[in-house]
Amino acid sequence: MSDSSRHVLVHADDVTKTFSTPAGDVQAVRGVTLSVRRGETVGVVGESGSGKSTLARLIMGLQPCTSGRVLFDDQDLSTVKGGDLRRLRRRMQMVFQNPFGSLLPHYSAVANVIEPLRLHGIGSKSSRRARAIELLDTVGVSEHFADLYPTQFSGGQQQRIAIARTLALEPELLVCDEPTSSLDVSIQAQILALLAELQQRLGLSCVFISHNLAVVQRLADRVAVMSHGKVVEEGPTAQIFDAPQDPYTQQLLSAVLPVTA
Amino acid sequence: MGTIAATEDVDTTGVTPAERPVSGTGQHEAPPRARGPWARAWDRFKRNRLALISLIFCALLVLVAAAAPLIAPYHFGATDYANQLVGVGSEGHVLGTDQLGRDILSRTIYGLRTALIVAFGAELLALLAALVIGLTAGYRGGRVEQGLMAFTDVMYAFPSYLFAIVMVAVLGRSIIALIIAIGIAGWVTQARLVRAQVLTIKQREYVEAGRAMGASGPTIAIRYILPNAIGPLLVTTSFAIPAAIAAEAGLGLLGLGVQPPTPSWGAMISEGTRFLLAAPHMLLAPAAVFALSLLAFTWVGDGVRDAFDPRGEQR
Repeated sequence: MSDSSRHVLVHADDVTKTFSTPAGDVQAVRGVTLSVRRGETVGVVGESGSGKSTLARLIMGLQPCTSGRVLFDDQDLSTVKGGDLRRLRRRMQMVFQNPFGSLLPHYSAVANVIEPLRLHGIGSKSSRRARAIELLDTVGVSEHFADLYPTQFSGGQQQRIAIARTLALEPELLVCDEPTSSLDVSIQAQILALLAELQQRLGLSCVFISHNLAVVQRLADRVAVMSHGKVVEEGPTAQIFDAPQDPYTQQLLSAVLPVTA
Repeated sequence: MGTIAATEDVDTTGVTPAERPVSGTGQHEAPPRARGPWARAWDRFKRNRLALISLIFCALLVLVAAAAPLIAPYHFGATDYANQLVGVGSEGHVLGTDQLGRDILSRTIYGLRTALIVAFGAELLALLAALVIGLTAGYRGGRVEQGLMAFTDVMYAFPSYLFAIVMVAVLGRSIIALIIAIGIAGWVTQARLVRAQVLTIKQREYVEAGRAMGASGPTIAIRYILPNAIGPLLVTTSFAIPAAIAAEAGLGLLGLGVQPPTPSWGAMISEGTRFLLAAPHMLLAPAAVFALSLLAFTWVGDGVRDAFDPRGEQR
């Protein structure tokens, strides 16, 4: 085992995902290999339909790979089942694209944050609530509003609550699937700042998926560019943005440059 | 949202629902009241006056049915041969008597009891069967779903009145037989609805988020999916209750209701037609209460439907 691979937390090894649809098979992810080292943020960029979200779900073990495997801390996710898999999930959490869709609508904000703690039997009823209030405070949601329901919050607030929920289990890996794409631009900046701060403070390993290049440039240590289910280029963020090699990456960057002022 | 008006005990000090906690830094001294999906459904239900009044009326009916032995002036089978077929307002018999001198008011009250026990029992049975089968089929998918839905389709193809007749023939003319007969006629559509709901909700991100958090299958099905699937189910159930009351009366009318002398509105109406000219009250009293209960339960159903209408969420 080489020196650098020792610190790898999650490793996708030549993973492929094919969906069978009535219109025929769709290859969402085709032979992607990607590693995330401990404490590192890897950005995944690409246009809609390039397979980014599917890759995120494969890395989280939410969907089985058609071929290839995902190793989390050297364990093949496809071999871990049932209760063991649920326990493994404590160590990896995901922030979803649509915060309102991902929060339980019939649970209050604080109950949503408590839920992962309850599921894994962490703490007592009162200590869980105290911890959840603390987490909500960390992400900037006041205790006054803890008992309100998701619909009573704005989109940005909902995403903060969703982030607090993912932090409850103190995961080692955080997968963010376009966490700001459903939010207003001004709120996007706040959420990104929050994620960047948390990532640094807690030393999280992070997979950050976005179609917004500016966002990825700001947060990621390394970037993988996806197109049609394949990683066309991968490397340190500065290298990708300053000297893109692949024609698709060049095209992607030039298409966005005028906007990133 | 939109109805967090200062209706009750909590002092909202003029905080309108528009003032969402945008900053989250606690600038608002009094946070808005927590309103979950159920509380908001209740808010919307309350706005429908007719439904609210009907609900109170239905609650009253349930109370009367429950306290029938205390309220009814006579036992339903008690005969008063000195006063046969006496009219409304007679001494001792406010709503008159039938051909055996039995008190119509008492029999109507006991008839209400029969109707409600059968209707609620049948719908409870239908609801439970529908939840178990629909939830299992919708959540598990695959062969389990195919098997359960094939069974449901077979049941669906069975004419419900024929089924009821068979049930009564097999189990005898008892309340249990009626509950099973009407309940089984009702669960099929409910089970299909539950399955459709579960299939829709399964696609929502919070279900995937639940899996990502490490929730088990049963937790996701019962704690996350079920509570969000139950709204539309309550709507159909609240419309199914008056239908079940009507079905009970219908079977009674056909002579398939509960064993006499236990009163059923259907049987009372059927008997009343034989004395229509001599004693119209025999038919009119149970028919009027029957019609009123049907209306009230249906109006409650209307309110429940509006309360759970997803379009109602906006305003």
